[in-house]
Amino acid sequence: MDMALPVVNATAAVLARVSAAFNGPLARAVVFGVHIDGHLVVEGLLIAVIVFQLSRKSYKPPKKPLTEKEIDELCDEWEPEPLCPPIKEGAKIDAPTLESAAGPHTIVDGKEVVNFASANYLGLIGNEKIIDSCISSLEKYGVGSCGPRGFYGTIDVHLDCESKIAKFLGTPDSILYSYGISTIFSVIPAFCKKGDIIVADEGVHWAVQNGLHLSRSTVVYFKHNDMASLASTLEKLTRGNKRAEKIRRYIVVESIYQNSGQIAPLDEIVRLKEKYRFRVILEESHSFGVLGKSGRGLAEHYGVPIEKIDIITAGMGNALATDGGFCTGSVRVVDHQRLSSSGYVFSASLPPYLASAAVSAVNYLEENPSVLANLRSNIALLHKELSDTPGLEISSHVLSPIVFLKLKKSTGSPTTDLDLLETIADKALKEDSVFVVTSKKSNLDRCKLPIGIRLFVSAGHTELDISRLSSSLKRVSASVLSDYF
Amino acid sequence: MLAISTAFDVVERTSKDNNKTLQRTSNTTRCLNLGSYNYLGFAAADEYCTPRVIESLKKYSASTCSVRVDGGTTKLHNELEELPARFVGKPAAILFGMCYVTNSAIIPCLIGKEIIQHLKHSCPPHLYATSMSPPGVQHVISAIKVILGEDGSNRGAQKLARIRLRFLQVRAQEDGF
Repeated sequence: MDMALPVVNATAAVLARVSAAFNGPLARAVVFGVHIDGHLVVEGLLIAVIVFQLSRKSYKPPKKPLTEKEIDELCDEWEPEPLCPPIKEGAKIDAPTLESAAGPHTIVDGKEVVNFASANYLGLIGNEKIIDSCISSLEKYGVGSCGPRGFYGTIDVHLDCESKIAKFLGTPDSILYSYGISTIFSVIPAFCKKGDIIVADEGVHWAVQNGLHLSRSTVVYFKHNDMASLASTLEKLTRGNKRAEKIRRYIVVESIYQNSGQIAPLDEIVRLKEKYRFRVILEESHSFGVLGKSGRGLAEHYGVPIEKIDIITAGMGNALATDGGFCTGSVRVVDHQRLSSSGYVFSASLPPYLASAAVSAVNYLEENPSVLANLRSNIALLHKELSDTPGLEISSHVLSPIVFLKLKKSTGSPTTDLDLLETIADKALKEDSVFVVTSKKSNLDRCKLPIGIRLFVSAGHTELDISRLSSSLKRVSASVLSDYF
Repeated sequence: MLAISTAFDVVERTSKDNNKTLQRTSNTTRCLNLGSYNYLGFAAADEYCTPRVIESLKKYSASTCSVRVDGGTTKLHNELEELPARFVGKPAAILFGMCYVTNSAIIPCLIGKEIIQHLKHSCPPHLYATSMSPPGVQHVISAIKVILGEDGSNRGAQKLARIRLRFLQVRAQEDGF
């Protein structure tokens, strides 16, 4: 009894202190003029917790486990959610099938057509010298390389191709990629990281968008090909921003925009880059081998020294009529990619015969500069012929080999616009054997530029081909668009 | 490096700046090839594949310069989408020109007709990437036909039997590795 007394006294003292604390002036609350003691608050909370616990459904295990038969029945009845949304009948894409090489004339579904659907700008598809170089390469090396560049996939022809491209463009070094679109979306994340700032044109195509997304950088878009918008964006990002001086900053543009056929004003971009101290990444898939006096691209076209552009990338599936892509720039820029660019490191190298084809194509361009004059005269002729096409207008640059025809007046619905343009393309193919295509878009593409009919002009097209195209488009668009405009 | 086969010639290189840059020489060394993913030996010239590849190169050239949904689908591309689906027992397949892009753009590659139709309609690499080089397509078609025995020989079965021998692994274990 004597031993228990100190414990009882201590407990009583603690309780007295607690109740004093609850009844003290700080523990009292006034709600609607009524004084509420502290212990009432605690009791209220306890009651709330008890009510919550009682209202919860208690877990009751099934009284009797399910039999095998019942499990099977439940499994048979279960219908999973579809893995992808159903495609509307009208939206299905049934691509025409080619039965011969995709040159200026090709065979589509058994019928010879004039081909304006292939970006065969220099008319090198079917070129005998290129085919011969491919055959000798196939006989010597086989088809595939069976390994990435860093793992027994580097063949002497890859190194020859890299040095050929670098020499042609006047850059210190270049690096080959095995797939055109993976070039840009491997290069951007190799240099641009989280925390960096990228200022990009809102009209860039999906591969560039994917590169921007994969980089995890802060991306700011400027209005399509609008230098005032670019200047104000750069000004906003750098003015009074001390942090901006310490982080990497890039401008990402295409030389000829795949989504519009517009040409980027490189001279102005370089001026702004130097003023605001940004680096430039230039995507040249549609200008390499096309623009400039000797086909060396946008830098030659504007007379800008190539060393002022930090990184240049291009796919070789257009003017060079082969496959794969390349990136060119300083030795440091190229060397960095050999260990840091995912598309280079984690992919089998370019098949040797395609690298041989690229070398032969560049040689052909150097030996036959007249092919560029043919291409330019064809583009000019097409612009002239299509200038008065009913319901359609040319929105591309006069020197662009992508001649972009958009509706003069949109219906207000992109789906209806696309349907109209698809109808024009289908009728031109079926009725006049003229193969043209629309600029289809994935639902993952964030580019908001208007869709249109995209014509790829080739140096291999004749005047007759172009007049056949223009007369077909004029006739078909007049009949298709008459109900709308 | 020259020619992917059971052996290849490795080009010797020299450096004047402690391997910062390397220059090729005219010397080569013949090496046993244990470093390529050439499991069934189709990479080097093949009696069935190579003539057909050269034939397709002459017919279709090295590239279509177009995307699959525009002017980049040849009869070969359609055939190659049918063959692997049949080979693995699936209803449909979709073809990409690069394994890295296949993996990064889509995971469900050979699942069902609806999935494939959906990918053909909305998968960006299918809509925006230049279609696979026709001779490369022909090479894969020919290789699959050899494996399936549709070339009229039993070479495919022999290749598969040879790779299943695991000769190198067995010998290495015998030698105490």
